[in-house]
Parts: sequence; C-alpha cells; structure tokens
Amino acid sequence: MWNRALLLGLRNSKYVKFVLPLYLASLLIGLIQIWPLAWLLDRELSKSPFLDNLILSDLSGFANFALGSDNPALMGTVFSIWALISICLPLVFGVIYNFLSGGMLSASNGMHSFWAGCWRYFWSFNALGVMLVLAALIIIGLATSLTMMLPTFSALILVVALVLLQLLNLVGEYARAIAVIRQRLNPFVLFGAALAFCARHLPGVLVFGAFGLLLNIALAAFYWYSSQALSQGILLIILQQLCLFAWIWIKFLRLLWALFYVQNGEVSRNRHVEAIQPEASLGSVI
Amino acid sequence: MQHIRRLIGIMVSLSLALGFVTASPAQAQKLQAEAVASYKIDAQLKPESKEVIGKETISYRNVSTDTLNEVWLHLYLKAFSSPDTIWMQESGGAHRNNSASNWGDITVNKLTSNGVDLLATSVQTDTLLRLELPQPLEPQATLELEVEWVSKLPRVFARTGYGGRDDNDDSFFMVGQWYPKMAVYQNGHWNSEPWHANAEFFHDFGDYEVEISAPSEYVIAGAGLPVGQSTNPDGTLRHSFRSTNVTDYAFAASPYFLTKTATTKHGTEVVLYYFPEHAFAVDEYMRAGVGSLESYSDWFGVYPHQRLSIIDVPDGAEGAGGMEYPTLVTGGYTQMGVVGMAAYVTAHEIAHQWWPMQTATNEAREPWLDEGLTEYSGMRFMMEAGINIGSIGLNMPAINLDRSQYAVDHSHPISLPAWEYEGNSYASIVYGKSALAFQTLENIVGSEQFLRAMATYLERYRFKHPTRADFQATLEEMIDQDISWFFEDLVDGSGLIDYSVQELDGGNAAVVERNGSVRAPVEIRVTLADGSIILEQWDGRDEQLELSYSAPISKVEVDPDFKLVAELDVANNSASSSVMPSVSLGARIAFWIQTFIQFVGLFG
Repeated sequence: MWNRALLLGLRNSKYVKFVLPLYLASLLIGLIQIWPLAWLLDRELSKSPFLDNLILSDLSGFANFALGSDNPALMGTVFSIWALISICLPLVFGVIYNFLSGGMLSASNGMHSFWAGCWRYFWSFNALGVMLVLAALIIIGLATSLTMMLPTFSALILVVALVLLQLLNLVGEYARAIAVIRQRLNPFVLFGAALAFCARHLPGVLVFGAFGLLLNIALAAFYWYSSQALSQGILLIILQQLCLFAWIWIKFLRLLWALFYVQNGEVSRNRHVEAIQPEASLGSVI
Repeated sequence: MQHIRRLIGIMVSLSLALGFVTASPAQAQKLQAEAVASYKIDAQLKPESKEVIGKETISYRNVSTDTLNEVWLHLYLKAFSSPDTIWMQESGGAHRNNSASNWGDITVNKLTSNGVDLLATSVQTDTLLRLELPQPLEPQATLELEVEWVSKLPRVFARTGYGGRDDNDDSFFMVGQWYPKMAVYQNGHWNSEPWHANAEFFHDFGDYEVEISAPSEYVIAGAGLPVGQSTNPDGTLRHSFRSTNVTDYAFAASPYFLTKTATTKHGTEVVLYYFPEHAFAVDEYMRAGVGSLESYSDWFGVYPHQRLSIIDVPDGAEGAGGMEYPTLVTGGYTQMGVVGMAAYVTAHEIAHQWWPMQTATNEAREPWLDEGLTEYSGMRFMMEAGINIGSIGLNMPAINLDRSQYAVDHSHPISLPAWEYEGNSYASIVYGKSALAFQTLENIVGSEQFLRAMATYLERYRFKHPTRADFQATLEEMIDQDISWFFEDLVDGSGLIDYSVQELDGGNAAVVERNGSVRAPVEIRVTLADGSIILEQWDGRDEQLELSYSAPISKVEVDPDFKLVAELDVANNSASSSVMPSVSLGARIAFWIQTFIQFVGLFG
C-alpha cells in the first residue's frame, strides 16, 4: 500500500501542467509587488552600491538604502507600506492555493476536471486553511510564551514547535486528500479524519513527510550553492524561477503521496470490510 | 655542562619573568598618575532611608603655578534636588525616557580645613560649592578638607540611585556622583561649569581609599580593588577598596548579585556582577568585557588597572545602565530576543576606560574626545569581533546604528560643548557623527597608521588633561597625509561628505561631483566597456572631477570599498550604462517575495 502510493505519486507528478497555474500565480504576485518600488528603482536604488546586500537577510542593506536616499523619511514610509503589504500576501497566495489544490488533487485522481475540482473544494479548503492557520498560530503563540518563560530551553522549544508545525502541515495535506477520495466537504470532518488516518498510518505518513522535507532541503541547498556561482544576471533569475517552480512541484508531489496513500488505505479498508462482510451476513442469517 | 644547564635555566627563567612582567598588571601599575585630588572616604549605605552617610578627607595638591584663594566642589546630586536646577531644566526632567520621581540631594553638614569651618562662608550655586580659603594655597602645597555629608539617592535616574528587580523591589543601589568632589583648576581658572543634562564630568587624578559599610546581606560591587572586609559593631559589614590613578569612585550594591570572573590575556581580572534572571546574558557580557578590554589594550595601550567590574542592572533600574566610572562600568542587559545590545553597551562603556578615564578631557566642553572616541572604539570592537545587533536572523552591524543615529541629525559640527546641542543632536553628532568620522579617517589613512597615532596620543597624555589641540597635533604629526579635511570640514564643519556620479551617456567621459562641503579624499573605480578596471584617486579639493578614457565607460563607482562610512547619501555613488542592475534587482525582489509567500502560503 505504501509502495504503491509512492510509485503512483511519483508517476503522476509528471503532470506539471497542474502545477503551472499555482506557479504563475506566485510569479504574478511577485511581479505586481515590485511595482510600488519601481519608481524608487528607477530613481536611485538601482544605482546604489548596496544592491547586493539588500537581498541578503541583513538589515544593513535596508538601512543603507534608507540612509542613502535624498529623503530617508519618504523612503522609510514606502518601504514600510510595502513590507506591510508583503506580509499580507501569503494570505492571498494561501487562498489561491486552496482554490488550485482542489483541482490538482481531483484531476490527478480522475474524479473531476481540473477547474471543476478547483471550484468544488474551494470553500471547504478555505475553511480548512483557516483551521490550520489558527492551529499554527496557537503553536507559535505557545512556543513564544514558553521561550519567554524558559529562555534557557529556547532552542528545544523552537525545535518542538517546528516539528509540530510540520506535523500540522502533513495533517492538512491528508485532509485535502481525504476530501477528494471520500467526497467530503466539512472541514471539521476532514481535519478529524486526517488526524485519524495519520495516527493509523503514522510510520508511512512520517516517511512521506520526511521525503517531502528532504526534497525541500535538497532544493534549498541546490539553490544556495548554484546561486553562488551565478552572482547576477539572467541566469540567476532563471535559476531562481526554476527553483520556485520546483518548490511548488514538491508540494504537488506531497499532495499526490497523501492522495494515493489515502486511496490505497481506503481500498484495503474496503477489502477488509468486504472480507469480513460474509461472516457478518452469515451471522445475521444464522 | 652543569653550568651551561644552569645558565640556560636562568636565561629561561629570566625570559619568562620578563615576559610575565611585560604582560602583567605589574607593568600597568608602573603607570603612575600625578595625584592631585585624593580621597579617603568612609561611607555607610542605609538601604531603608536610601541614603549614604559619608565622611571624607580630600587631599588637594595645587599643581598649578598660581596661588589659590578659593576652591570649588561639585555637589552633583544637587542636580536632582528640585525641578529648577540647570540639569532638570535642560533635560525637561527626563533622562533616556526615565522621569525623575523621588528627588535626590546631597547635604554637606561639616566642611573644615585644619579645624577651620569653611561651610559658613561657602556659596552654593546649582551643583557647585565655592569655598574661600582662610589661607592662600601656594603652588605645590596641599590642602586637606574634612567633609561630612548625607547623600539622598533618587529612584534610579540618570545612572544613579536605587531600584530593583521589579517595581516593588528597591534593594539595588547604583551609587555614582555621590560625594563632594573637587573641581579642576586649569589654565588659570576653576572649571566652575554646573552639571548640564548632556554633559558628564571633568576631574583630576588621585588615589581613593574607600570604606563602605552596608547590611551584611549586601554584595558590594566597588570600583578599584577590594582589599578586605570586617564586621562593624552594629553587625553591618565594612568593605574596603583601593583605587589608584583614577578620577572618580562609584559602587553598586544588591543582595542578589551573582558573579562571574575571567582574566584577560594581559592579566586583568574582569568581574561581572549580574542578576539571576539575566544569566542568559552572561556569556555576551563576558565576551564583550574580556574581548574589548584586550582589543583596546592592543590597539591603544595597556589598561592600567588590575581589575574591571561590570555591573548588570536589574529590570527595575534600567536608568542605571550604560555608565562608566574608572574601573567600573554598568551594562545594558540583553532584551529578550535582541542579541548584541549587552555586548554593544559593555564594549562602549569599557572604551571609556581609555577615553576619558586615562585621557581626562573635559567631557562637558569637548564631549567628542570622550563619547566620540568611545563610540568609535566600541563600534570598532563590535565590527572586528563580528557581533551584530538584532534578532530572528535579522541583524545589523554596529556601524549601522551610528549611521542611523547620524542620519537623524547631521547639521552640526562635532566640536561643540555638550550644552550647545539640543534634542537628539547630541547623540546624533557626538556619538554618531564622531564615530563615523574617526572610522572614515582610519579607513582613509590606514588602520596601522591611525592606531599608531591613537596610541601615541594616549602615551603622551595618559593621566593628563589633553585638549583638542593636543589631540589634533598628535594626529597631524603621526599621520603622513594631509588630514586638514578631517578637522576643518568634518570636526568643525556642519557639512556632509557627499559624492555623486553624473549619468553616463555611453561615451568615453564621466564626471564625478563633490556635493558636500567635506573635502575627503576618495577612490573612484572605473570599468571600461572592454572589461578593464582603472582605480583613480581624487583628493576632493575641487568640486568636480572629469574623467576621460580611450574606451567607452560602462561603470563608475565612487568609494567602491565604502571607506567613507560617514557619507550618508551613497545612492548616487555609482553610475552604469547598463540597465541590467534595475531589472536584476526587480527580479530578485520578486524572487524573495515569491519564496516568502510560497513558504508560508503552501501550508497544509
């Protein structure tokens, strides 16, 4: 059952056309978001010697940009508004993912066409997404409070919180898969069923989760090393976009593994039910 | 053979002994200040009444060539005695967001010299007490003053007073600026400037013998060396300290102090007094404490004392943090999740052990030779040690704190007296601009030459009262370049370092302009279309530099290695004939936005 899910997932992941809409949505949001900065780019940013360190996760780049401006206050305001909008963008992307993931799963399963699947599960997946986000916020909130109370254990608390978030991510993926396989739409039922499935098939679920995580880490490592060689230019831009596409493809693969694992689980459960059914019938007859 | 072995043994022993002496505090102790104002203090800390009751004998030697008919004493705690003092008026009654709540004061009850009462004829104005001497004090003669006083400590305010681990606790004491203290007589007059809000202190060197009595449960973190303790008849403990070649004395007290000790490679003992709830910051404190002490000793000259105490202040007494006294500093603990601040504050305060604790400049009149040099030294340590300030993976080098500070207000000279700066300009200019100016100078003349000049300045004026003229003369002598731009334009001027490159037209010529009034030398890197790179040097004297080559220019970068760290507007420092940078930047920003939204948005 596990092997079959693994192979089916890999085999169906070749349909990258199901990944494309999600990638294009990501690209569109990325491009739209740089428009507010366009006039700053034209005006002065592109001339700054701090171009390189702006992109690094280092505040010095931002500080130098702001300080290097003719009007640091205006620059600060523009950046602040932009940062605020950027923080809201994952929500927008999350809604798009909720829409498209229904299509990705149903089309892979052959239940519905891609777009029909998108619409069928849209509201259900949105509600599920809200539940997952709330659960994630509770974990983050608890971890933050514990870190403040027990600063010496902050590293341990962080690790535990990350593991819990990963597990929650897995539960979400299985909930989506169960929705498509069992044709259920109630998010509470889906969440509960996913928890039950994950608990019942914990080793398999964890191995799939670990595979997905390893692929993510491998991709990040690949990007880190290959981008060093391509410090700038068109090749770097192409590499970046390929990696972003690959990141979504990995998510697609994870969903497929969940889908086929649940599907095979249902099949074996049905077989098991069928296997015991005659006895029950016999018993009732007797 | 035996003789040879013995000889070798003696030589090895001598070498080791010599090495030991070279690196040990013994050598540091050979550095002797001329004792001008020395104090024997006997003080009782009264935690219940928040008072220090003290007796002192001041030995003041007239090292001037003038006969003195009067002397002046500082009564610093008078600054907090009413809202009408100069300090309170200038500060608006607040210091670093802390407002004065319980007033502090100092009351002198007895003041005699050779049995003659000087108090009756004394005149007190603001934080100063003028005493008429019954007998003129001849050059090289010594005056002995017997003083009895009571210091009423305020709730921690402007680095002195009492506070605690929370709002209900008041068991912590930071006792600074707490005793009647001699003013400095220099250049024919007494330094009779009252205590100003922005300003700090100016004192003569001397030796201190200090006895502090306190309830037995109190740990006393005193400056100098602890030399013993005994029990008083009333059960309190009497702690004895000695501090030599210093300009001041302070101590902290708490029943909850824990200690951590380390020794620097030069043999100085570093002792951290910290609170249990700040145990997580101990490593950062010690890294900065030991590291900066060693670095400054290597860069500028040896730390001349055997011990340095670092005081961690409790959460309810933050106003006591970030202050320096000879051989004792108070730190700023690490805020939750923000690393690097404890190191930054500690490294800064320890740099004060050089400027002005060894070069006792007038901190009020020339604060840039005190806070400016100190901020530069601390920032340099943070940069060299690679300690950034920030949290959750976003952090910035210490130099950006100074750049941010300077950006707030950059329209004043560095060289003004403390009381002429208003609002944020004191911090922006005296700390930020000074630090960036010194770092810019170092970057231009080279670290080796600059540090040699600084070490010479310290060597010449250690335990003296140098002025700007002494500092400038030393730097100009030791640096083999014209650095008039530094003193004339940056120190005394209000203008900026600002260079720019005019838009390139794809041709063989380019124009670099000096928009700011500071004529700092600058490097220009020109990249030609054929890929060759040319490095030009420009002294910045003219307002414009025209460059012309045999091949088309593809890029011009002014100050490509960012040596001019005091230049704020760097956005116009380069020009390129290519449009790729903006496209590349746009695409890269889009990439990080996409990464962010995909990482978060694909949850579940």
